[in-house]
Amino acid sequence: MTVLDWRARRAGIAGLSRWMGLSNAPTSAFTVDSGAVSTCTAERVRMILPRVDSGAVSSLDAASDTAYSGSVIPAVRVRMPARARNVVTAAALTAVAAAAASVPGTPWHHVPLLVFGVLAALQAIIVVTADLPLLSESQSASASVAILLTAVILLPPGAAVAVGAVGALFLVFRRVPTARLVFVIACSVIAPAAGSAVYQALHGSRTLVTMDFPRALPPIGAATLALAAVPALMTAALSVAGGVVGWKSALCDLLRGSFPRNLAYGFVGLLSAVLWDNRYPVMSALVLIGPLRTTHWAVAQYIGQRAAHDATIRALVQAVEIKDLYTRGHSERVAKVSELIARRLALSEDRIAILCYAAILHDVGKLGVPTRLLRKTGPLDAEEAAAIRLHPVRGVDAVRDIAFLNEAYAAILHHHERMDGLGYPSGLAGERIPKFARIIAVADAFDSMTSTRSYRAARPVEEALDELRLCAGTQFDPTIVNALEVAMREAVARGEPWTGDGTMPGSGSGSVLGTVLVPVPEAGEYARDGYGCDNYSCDGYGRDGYGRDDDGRDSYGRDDYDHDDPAFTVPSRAVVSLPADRQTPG
Amino acid sequence: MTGPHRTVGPPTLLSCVAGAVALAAAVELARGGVVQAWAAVVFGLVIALGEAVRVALPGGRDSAPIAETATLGYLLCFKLGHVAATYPAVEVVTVVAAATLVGISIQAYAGRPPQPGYLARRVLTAALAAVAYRGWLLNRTVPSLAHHHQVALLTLVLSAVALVTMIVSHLLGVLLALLGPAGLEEPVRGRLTWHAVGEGLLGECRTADRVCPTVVLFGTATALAAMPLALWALPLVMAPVLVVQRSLHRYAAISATYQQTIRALSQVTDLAGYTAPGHARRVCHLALAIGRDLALPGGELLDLEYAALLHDIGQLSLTDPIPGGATVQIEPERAASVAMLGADVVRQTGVLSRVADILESQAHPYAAATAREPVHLAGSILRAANAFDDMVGSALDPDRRLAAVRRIRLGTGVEYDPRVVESLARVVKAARP
Repeated sequence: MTVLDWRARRAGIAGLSRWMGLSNAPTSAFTVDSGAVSTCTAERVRMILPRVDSGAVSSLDAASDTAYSGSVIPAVRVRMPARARNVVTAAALTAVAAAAASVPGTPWHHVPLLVFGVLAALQAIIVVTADLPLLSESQSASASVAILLTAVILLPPGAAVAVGAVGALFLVFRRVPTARLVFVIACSVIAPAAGSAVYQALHGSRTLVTMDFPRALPPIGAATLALAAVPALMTAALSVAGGVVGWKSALCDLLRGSFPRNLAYGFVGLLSAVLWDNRYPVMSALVLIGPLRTTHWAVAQYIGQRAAHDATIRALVQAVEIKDLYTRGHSERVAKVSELIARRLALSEDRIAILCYAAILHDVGKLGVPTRLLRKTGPLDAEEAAAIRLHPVRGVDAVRDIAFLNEAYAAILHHHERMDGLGYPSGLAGERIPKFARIIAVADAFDSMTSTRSYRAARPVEEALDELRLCAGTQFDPTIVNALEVAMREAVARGEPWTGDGTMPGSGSGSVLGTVLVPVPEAGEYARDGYGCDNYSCDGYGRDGYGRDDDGRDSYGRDDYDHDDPAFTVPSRAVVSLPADRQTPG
Repeated sequence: MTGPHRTVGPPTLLSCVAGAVALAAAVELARGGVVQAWAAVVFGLVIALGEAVRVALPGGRDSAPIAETATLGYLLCFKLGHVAATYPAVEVVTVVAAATLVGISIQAYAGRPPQPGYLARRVLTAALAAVAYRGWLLNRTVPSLAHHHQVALLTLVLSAVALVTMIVSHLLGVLLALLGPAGLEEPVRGRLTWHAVGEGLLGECRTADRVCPTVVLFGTATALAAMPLALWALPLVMAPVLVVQRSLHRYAAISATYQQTIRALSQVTDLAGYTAPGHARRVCHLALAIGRDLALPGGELLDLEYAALLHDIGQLSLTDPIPGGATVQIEPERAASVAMLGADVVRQTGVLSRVADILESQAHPYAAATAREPVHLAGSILRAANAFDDMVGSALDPDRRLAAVRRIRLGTGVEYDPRVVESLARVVKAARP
């Protein structure tokens, strides 16, 4: 095949996609959304599958990554690829068995070839134009269920399986990785086999014209259920094997995700079969894939609007960060850390999305704080500290009218509470602090410590985690600190170690010497703070209202994390004290 | 969404006509008696349900695919099972009118203000289509086509009727939007010109282009499938339309959320003490009223709305607030630089670049802007609206408002766009308490 042929074919596929309303498919829109607030199920599957395919490569990467492998955090090998591969293999074997059981005995001379051809062609169109990652998660999956239902009703089992298999084979034109290809084809074989088996077992009729309608519904309903449930369950199994979600969460996603949609849409298959039997072949084909255009358009619009929404929130939050030059990107990073923690804690997708919004907006109330105070490097007097301490309340004022945020209000309001009840604004303690607020508190502190501030340099991840561990129980929720530790270890194992704002020693971006020395903290500044050292209470967090009195005592910092850290008193010593394995950027 | 919430105003001619038509149909039906009442009840229920869950798409357009599909199906049916569908046109009109009324009442109960214009549109469309199809076409061509199994021609005729019905519906929608009663949210109605009708229809078609084919397809499919399945065709057809409806609903919901977020975040300058409380919202209302008066298309109105809400965001970069937050009272260079900063923030979203353009252009006086490039109308509107609100604030005193208009008028052609100044004067006069 010449290059030209390939181009023509690709152009044809692109044209087809455009006709189907897929040209502005979600994938492109999501590039805007690739950060903290991308949480739909399809996205998550998208996250798993590349790893499935490049599993060997990524674990090799993790092993050879010198940034952390020799350090405190041990490199954990990712178990996911092997288990996911097992699922794919099992699916493939089941598919082969199902095909072997149904295809050989098919009376092909009785199969209406026109029906077979049209349905296989439609299935191929769906496969070629569908928005991957997985057919069962795509909007087009609904139409696929409907087509297979038509096949199950109008054709013998072997032919129905063949419709699914022939259509799915067109996936080779999509240049998808082998594991994904095998999995999708397996889904497309097992689903019609299961649907046909159910339909036959319940004595579904293949001649719809003469049938008594209400009585024909149970077998058709059961077949639709099987057709929609099989790919959904297989995808859920793959997600679970991929290790990203627990069973509970996967089943929850399944029931609230594409499954109900596929089930509802599946009944078009029945409509299509009826129309075919009554000699309306064109309508019969059109109703199968016609609504896809509308659904795809609406979904693309939805995703576009959602991406725009997130981008707008981020840009406006950055406007807040204009006020405090050293906190640029802070909100975004807090959202990322919060998301990592939440995934460890196995929160549901919806709650993670809200948490991310809350984390991004947690400091929006600082708009109400005069810029002069935020940029001030010297000690704050009581009145100034009080002004800063108002920011969570003002933040809630700002977002109160955004109805969907609901659970986020409490998180924004209470993100400076402490486990021992000495935080602000309400002085809540322990479990009475909303979970989101506890997560954001940890993420906020972690990011403050691992990025550079006007009065000290960024600190490495382990030091920040040590500090958090010391404060766990008094200031932070220990389970959340644990979750963060595990999440950080996993991030290293994945080959994506936390880099903070890019100035952290050993983060691998830029020279170590340069990054540590850039924000030169003067020794005098620390002296002014009343400490000979940098510590958690006076870095960024101090600004957030763990205000310091002029006499040098930290009025809210309760000393439990005032641990001298000689490494950061003088910049040159910081370089000297870096662990040997981190002198070389990863 | 540019003001889908119209309140009840003086009934317009079209609404009166629609009411009269519905009444006449009901009276005629009562005289002739209801034929095939079960079909009327089932279709009526589905239509009412579809109307109750109709979604307001961005741009102030409503979409009710379930109700529209069911209406088309009810209209087009020629056989229910083995029985000919003999119900007359007046029955269709009465059922559609009653079901739509029920649906709208349910929405009103749920908190959405009723829209008499929408009801009028549905009734008039149904009446025109029913009289043309059921009164005339159905008796002549359709039965013979069905009898002779000319399926292709039959499908074509039914789809054509469905398509024409949808186009009539959109045209009526545009006319009603332009003639419709002015509400509180929109103190000034748009003016009826060929240009405005054309723009409106184009906008309608652009949205309808996506939803309309599905409605036409499934409306026709209902009629065709009703021949073997009788009313069982309805749930089969409605399942996929429900999926479409849900996806539209999600789109509408996220758009509403987006708007809510921008509205909420536009208040941060108030909270931070940079602007007078409610300034952004008042500027937004005024700018939209002027925009509507000048017949800005729907998309540009939305951009103008966002620009008006966010126009002071650049002030956040100032270390200390401008006294009173009134950019009209500081030196022009400084105001321009603040506006530029705001435009930069908005441009960073990556999705609101047209809004950023408006913010940029509003910083320049009219004369300076015309010297450089064709003037940005939305920018000029925002500039005038902002100046007006900086002078008046939340005061409702008519003398003060007129004085502000006079002051702005002094800057006509130099500071402000003449078209906008005239429009501002009209709007302020019309909105007089």
